[in-house]
Amino acid sequence: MKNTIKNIIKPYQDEKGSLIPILQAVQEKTGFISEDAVSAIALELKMSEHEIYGVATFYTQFRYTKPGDHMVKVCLGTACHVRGGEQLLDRTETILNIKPGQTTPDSAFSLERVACMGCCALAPVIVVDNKIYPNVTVPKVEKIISKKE
Amino acid sequence: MLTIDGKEVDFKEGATVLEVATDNGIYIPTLCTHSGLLPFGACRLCLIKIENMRGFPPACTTPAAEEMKIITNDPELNSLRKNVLELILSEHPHSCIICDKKELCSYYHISPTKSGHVTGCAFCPNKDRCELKQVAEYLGIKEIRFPFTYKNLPLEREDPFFDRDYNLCILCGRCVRVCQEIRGIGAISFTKRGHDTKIGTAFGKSHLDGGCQFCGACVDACPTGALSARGSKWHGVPDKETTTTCALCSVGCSLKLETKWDRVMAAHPDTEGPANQGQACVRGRFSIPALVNGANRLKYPLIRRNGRLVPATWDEAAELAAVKLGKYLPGETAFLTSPFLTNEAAYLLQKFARVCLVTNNIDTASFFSVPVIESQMKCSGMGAGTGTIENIAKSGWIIVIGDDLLASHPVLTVNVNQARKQGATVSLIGSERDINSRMFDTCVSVEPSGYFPLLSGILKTIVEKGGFDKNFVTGKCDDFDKLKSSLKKIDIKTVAGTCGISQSLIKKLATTIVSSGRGSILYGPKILECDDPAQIISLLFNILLLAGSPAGLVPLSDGANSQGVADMGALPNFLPGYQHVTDKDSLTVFENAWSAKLPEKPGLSYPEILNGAAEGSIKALYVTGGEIPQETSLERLDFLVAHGIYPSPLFETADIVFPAAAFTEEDGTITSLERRVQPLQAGAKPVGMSMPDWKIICKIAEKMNVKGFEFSSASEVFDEICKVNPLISGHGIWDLKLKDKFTLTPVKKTARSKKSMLYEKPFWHYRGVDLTEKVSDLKILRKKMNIEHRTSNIEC
Ligand code: SF4
Ligand code: SF4
Ligand code: SF4
Ligand code: SF4
Ligand code: FES
Ligand code: FES
Repeated sequence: MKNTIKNIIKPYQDEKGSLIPILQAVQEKTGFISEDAVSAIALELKMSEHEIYGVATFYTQFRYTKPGDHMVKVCLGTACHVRGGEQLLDRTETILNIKPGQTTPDSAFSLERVACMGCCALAPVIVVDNKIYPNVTVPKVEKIISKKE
Repeated sequence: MLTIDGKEVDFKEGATVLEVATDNGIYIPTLCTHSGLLPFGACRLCLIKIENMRGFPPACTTPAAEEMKIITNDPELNSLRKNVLELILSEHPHSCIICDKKELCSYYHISPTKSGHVTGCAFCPNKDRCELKQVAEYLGIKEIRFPFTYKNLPLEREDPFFDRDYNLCILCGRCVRVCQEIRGIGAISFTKRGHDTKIGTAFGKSHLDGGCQFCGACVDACPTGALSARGSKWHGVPDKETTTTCALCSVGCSLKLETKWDRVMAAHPDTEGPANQGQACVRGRFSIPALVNGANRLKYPLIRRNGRLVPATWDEAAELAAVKLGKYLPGETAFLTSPFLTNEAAYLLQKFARVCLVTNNIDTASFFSVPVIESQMKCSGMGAGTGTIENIAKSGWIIVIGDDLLASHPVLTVNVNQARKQGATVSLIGSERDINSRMFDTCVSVEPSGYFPLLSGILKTIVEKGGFDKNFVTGKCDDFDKLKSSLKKIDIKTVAGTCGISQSLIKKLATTIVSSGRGSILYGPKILECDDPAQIISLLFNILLLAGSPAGLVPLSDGANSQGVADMGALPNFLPGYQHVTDKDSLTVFENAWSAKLPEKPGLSYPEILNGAAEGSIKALYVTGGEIPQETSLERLDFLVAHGIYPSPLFETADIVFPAAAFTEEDGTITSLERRVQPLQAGAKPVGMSMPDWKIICKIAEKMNVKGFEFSSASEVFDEICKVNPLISGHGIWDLKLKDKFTLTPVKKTARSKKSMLYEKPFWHYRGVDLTEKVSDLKILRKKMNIEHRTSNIEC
């Protein structure tokens, strides 16, 4: 990890305020921000890992667990929200037994909540691995997920 | 000139409105401001009005300007502040704050009621010093007009030393900032955002795993009960507060001891402390009560009878000591001084040795052994370093060599950090730990055997590349040419190879030194593991001279009073004030002052004394601390006297044991690594029948019928010290009077003296008592920090 991070950081070295781009690059390369990655960035930038984590968690774009094989995104944008997105998320959490931002222990699924996928006409929507499922109802959630198992 | 509440006042350039107000005795409520921290502007409590400025700027972040017209208090501001505070309190348990029976209640709830969850001030460990509560009282909060949310966060109690209840946290950020800005650690941070914002660590790690040093600075900075010291949180208001000096390391932090039921229950750093300015470390802040209140403290004198140590009265024990000690020839007795003794005790011990037993066989189990002292004398003219803590903070470059600074002298890292924030380059030569990589700009991992080649390499690079302080060197230093030619043989490539580092790193270190102005070098006990420690000190001083900073040499002495004990002449070859025993004039002065005939030959050094004891040439040994190598064989001794605060392995052979008072139980002075003489003040009475060491010595002298030991208080002893020791004239840093002309020392490799002796002692100890044995949380921390016992080496 130390070396991967070194390489990622190299282009940003000596640039002030480069922490965010570095974090973005790390997430792009490795899929998430791991504990090891934060420690390695801390060593390189001579910062404390806690400060880095604090900055990272201020933004919603970063995730801290290894993404699972399938990414389940439940939309909670305005349109989806008023049409029952919350219940869909609830149901999904129960089925997978994880919270948004987490990955199931078998690494099969990751769960995320998103704000508007740009297809409000189809609300409420769930997106699994970039496939959009329109007009989802609570009973349907189980089917969508079990298809992937 | 500006106007504040109708009053015209002057102000300092760069001051904030808040500072101007405070300077002029005007109170503006604040919560996120804290002394020493940069303005933050988070709590919005300090809102004010400024003419021709829109809105309500916060006083703490608004710079004062000429002609400003400021209003700090009017009904509008007051109601605004009330609003702000009500908002803050809507997320903070406030039942007690708005309770209309609270006056009555405080009569019954004198001390806080121990409870799991804090639901109001009556149940809060912070209630007697709570800033939030004080501000609420000042603003007269009677109701909270917003719905209450209890965050319902789990209590965090798994870490050592302090508890965290973030349900009480108002997110003022003082803890985060003190840890980052002042301590340079950054063990905590704001995490998440919006409603989920919480002070926390990366990935929710424990503090222990996250590199927290448990210095307690965050606990002291917190304006609420969110952070509380576990050991003392339920004690309520102390009966008494005493300002004293921490005697657990040589930084010399001022502490306020809190006493309850005649026991020291807690200690806080003193914001006025000249050495620490409100900072302390895990030892001073959290470890003192457990250290001094242990159940098995020695409470009465013990004498050996029929092979067993049995309790005795002071008279019996002192009488026995006097009779026995009087039997031996001067060459057969010896004294070992603990570097934790007060100046008064050390002074009287050497006086006792010299006057009553006519021997110079007295030495200290300290980093400040004779070779170190002598080579410091070559540099500074006295057996002391030349630097001060204030100088460290002002340095342009700093080198720390031969100690694990963050663990050994934690509060010094505050000054190092301060220098670093102002642009200083800080290098560490010695062991590497992850956390060091963010405290230091450069970490050079080199074993002590590599110090000599590395330092010679740096010197050579400096001398050859030039760029050093030519004016200073030509004007103030002799023997530059000798130094230069002695460096000819040094080959940088070989040096790099021996040390296992790159040539460019050596160059980098050299460049930093010559290009960053005045510097400081902090050197610690690991240099004793080098072949020739004295030579290392000379090399370090050479480097400082080339950088034109003669006042930058700081010894990281291991004992809290290593400096003072040496100043007091508890050494085999020096009388008080570093006057050599072979110097006839000095000797006469002391013979007159003490009305006694004094020994003229230098005595035995620490290793020689121990060898003598093992071989049988030393028959009687007087030991004042437990800092004795465990391997030492004391069986052949005829007579062993020991002072101690706890039972120690020494007692297996001791014939008399005197129970000594701990530093929290006695008055006196100790001298820090910057030569600062500071007062100790008793926070509690000595435990049981124990006594301050100086009194014990006086008692024995009295039984021997020797005059000159009739003191009734430590301050009387100090008065005598000031009279006979030209260095000491009172409290404060004693004046070194640096020489006008310095000598650069040629670099010469020498072999290790055969008479040196390696020994091991606990890393954190007080008179040989391992702190981690008495303070269980400290043991956890030591394991985590991977701190091993210190190996030390003493040379004759
Ligand atoms: S932190 Fe202060 S205001 Fe809050 S409950 Fe404790 S004493 Fe009361
Ligand atoms: S105890 Fe010291 S190191 Fe630990 S979080 Fe608090 S301020 Fe930081
Ligand atoms: S824990 Fe205390 S110091 Fe830290 S942010 Fe909360 S209230 Fe402020
Ligand atoms: S740094 Fe030294 S003097 Fe200061 S509190 Fe810690 S142990 Fe005591
Ligand atoms: S709100 Fe869900 S797609 Fe727009
Ligand atoms: S004290 Fe000014 S905003 Fe907190």
